[in-house]
Amino acid sequence: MSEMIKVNIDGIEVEVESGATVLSACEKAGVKVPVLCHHPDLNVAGVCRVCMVEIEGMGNLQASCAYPVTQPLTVKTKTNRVRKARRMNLDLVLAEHYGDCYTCPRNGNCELRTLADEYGVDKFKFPHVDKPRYAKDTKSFSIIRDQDKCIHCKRCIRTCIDMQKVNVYETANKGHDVEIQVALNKSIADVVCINCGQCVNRCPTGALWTQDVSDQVWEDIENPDLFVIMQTAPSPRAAIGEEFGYPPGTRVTKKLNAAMRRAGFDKVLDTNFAADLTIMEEGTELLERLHKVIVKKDKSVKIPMFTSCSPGWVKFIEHYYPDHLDHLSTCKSPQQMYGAVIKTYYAEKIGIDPSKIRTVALMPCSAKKYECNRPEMNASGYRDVDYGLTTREMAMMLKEAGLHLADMPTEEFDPVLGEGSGAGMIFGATGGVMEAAIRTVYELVTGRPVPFERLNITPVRGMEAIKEASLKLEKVKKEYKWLEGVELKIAVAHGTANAKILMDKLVDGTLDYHFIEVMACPGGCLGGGGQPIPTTPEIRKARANAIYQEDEEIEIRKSHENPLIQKLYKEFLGKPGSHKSHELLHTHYTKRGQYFVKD
Amino acid sequence: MSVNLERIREIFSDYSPEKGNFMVLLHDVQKACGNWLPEEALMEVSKLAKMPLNKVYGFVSFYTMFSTQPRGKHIIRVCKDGPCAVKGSLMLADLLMKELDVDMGETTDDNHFTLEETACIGTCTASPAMMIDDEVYGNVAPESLNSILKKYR
Repeated sequence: MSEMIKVNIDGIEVEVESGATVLSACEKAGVKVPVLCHHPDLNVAGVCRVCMVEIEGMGNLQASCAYPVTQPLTVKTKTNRVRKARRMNLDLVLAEHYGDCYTCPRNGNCELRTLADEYGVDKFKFPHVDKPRYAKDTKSFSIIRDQDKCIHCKRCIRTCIDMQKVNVYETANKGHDVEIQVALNKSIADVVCINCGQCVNRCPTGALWTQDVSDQVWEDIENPDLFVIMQTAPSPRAAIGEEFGYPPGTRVTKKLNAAMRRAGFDKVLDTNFAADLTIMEEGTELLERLHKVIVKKDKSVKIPMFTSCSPGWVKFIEHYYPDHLDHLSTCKSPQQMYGAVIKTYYAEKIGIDPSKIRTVALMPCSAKKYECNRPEMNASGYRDVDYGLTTREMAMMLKEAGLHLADMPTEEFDPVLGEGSGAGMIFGATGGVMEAAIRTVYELVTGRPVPFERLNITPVRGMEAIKEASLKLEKVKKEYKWLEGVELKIAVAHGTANAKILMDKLVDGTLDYHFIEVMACPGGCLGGGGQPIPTTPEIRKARANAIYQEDEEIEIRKSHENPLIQKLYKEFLGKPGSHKSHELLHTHYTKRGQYFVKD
Repeated sequence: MSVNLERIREIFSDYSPEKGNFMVLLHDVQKACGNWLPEEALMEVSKLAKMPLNKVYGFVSFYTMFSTQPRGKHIIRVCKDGPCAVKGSLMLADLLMKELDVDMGETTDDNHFTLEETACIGTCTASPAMMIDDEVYGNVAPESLNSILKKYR
């Protein structure tokens, strides 16, 4: 541990590690300093200058987010000089910001507006932009961009380049003409964007948002000829409460069920069920691959196998590692599997013409919007999933309908394909898919439950960048004799920057695992680009806790023990990996490369 | 014109594309492409330099000498900075716009001239100054404009 240094903030003494910023010392002292460009997940930028403080002995005010503590300091954060400077810098930011707050999706949740309010901005001190200067970029299925609202804080750039290693945005031009741009001013839809939406979650204003489909969903709900089925993923349930004033990590699953029914959805189903289905298919695929590699020495079969539930991750590998797509599991994500099953098996069960069914997926994710619009996602003969709705959009729909979660009773999911296991539930957290898969695969192979207390595979839990574990397969069932003594090596990465570390090793030929879970977003789906704003490491941890608690409370905690899954295979699909499964539940990928999409 | 990717690869083999060389290298690529950097050229540069496209674009857009729009055979750059502006460069710019029948930043219909503004070119003592291609002209009097242009017609 490095040296601890004393810092005096407004008379409060704290100690911080040498090299820590003055801002972090202020946080430790419980002194609030306003920020716009600073974000706890991102590198230091120091461009907005609203976090100015006075440091004794320094002539000029300093940006606290960028000033490292290397000697004892006395800091003042509330002097007139500091307040006036912050106000001036805010006035300057506002002079460049064009936007009508009433019509902005971030109305009520905008960091710039909040600061303008807190700092008593009551007029434009400088001539300000009063007409739009840019056309909105609305071409992408997932991310939309309104540059008029951009304040050049560069959070999106740092998110995209440093945190996710995707490289969509960059600073273009110079001086007064600086813009945050996509290469050659292209649309986000035409470049390497993986639709993870992490930039949206970190934008302080309404410059970045997701393509909102709630109006179309309302239309369909009101159309008497259509039957609208909602499926809800685990992560929105652990987070949507934040939009209604609950603390992060409050579980509202059953209240949400009631609210969605009242909003007019004809059926409310649990995506955890489809997550269980994914585990059955993906687990089978893993065993098939291992069999081909270990027994048949088939060089064309690729190990490690990577999970394919995260559409951001899928697009990342399509863009950046197009020659390694064979490592991706061919399984569709739970969202898409569910869509395909709803418009076939379920439609028959409930006796409704699938052409009259609209499936809506409540997801924590902006990339799910792109995923459901991929041309190949029509295995049912129809668009398998019609709309991907983010947690934020759902919250807005409910508020619009006057449905506040606090007022709701608790209700269960609809039957037939209703419920998922605890294994499906933990898909929402990084490591969850791996844990769910191992709970099933280990038991399939050995006939015994995984050797972890209460089935909690703790080595793959938590927010570490890359987690590894290995599990020796011993005393296996006789049909899996070829796996006896094999040490199953697994890894879990969240955030595409961490995935890139693994992929670069794969390219070098030094990646020694059998099975790897990747989620594009930090923390897994619970930190997805469609989740409530803000996002911080603490908030993500709270959401993960909620997800793991819910898992422990569900009676069935292994995918293969879900009786509804067993019934689906018996009545419809045959067995995991069957011809029918492949038709409906598996997919293929597209080599995209790193350059512009040609129209 | 179509982009000669082979030529871009040759330029790359002439330089080791390190940070310090990137500027000269891009100038050569721009010259090879006819005074501008088309999309295909930037993609090839990105591939060869192993630099993501957003960063190549960030670099290119920072410097006014690079253009991602087609430009004419000759580029006239009028200095817009303080000393030149005081000594009449704005008037020069107006005259050139009238003479060539283009707005600032535009190219003549015959693709012969492109008129641009430039930041300081370091000849403040001879303001107002302008450049045509690589040639610097100082103390430009309005009457001398035509004779200067004639050399490039």
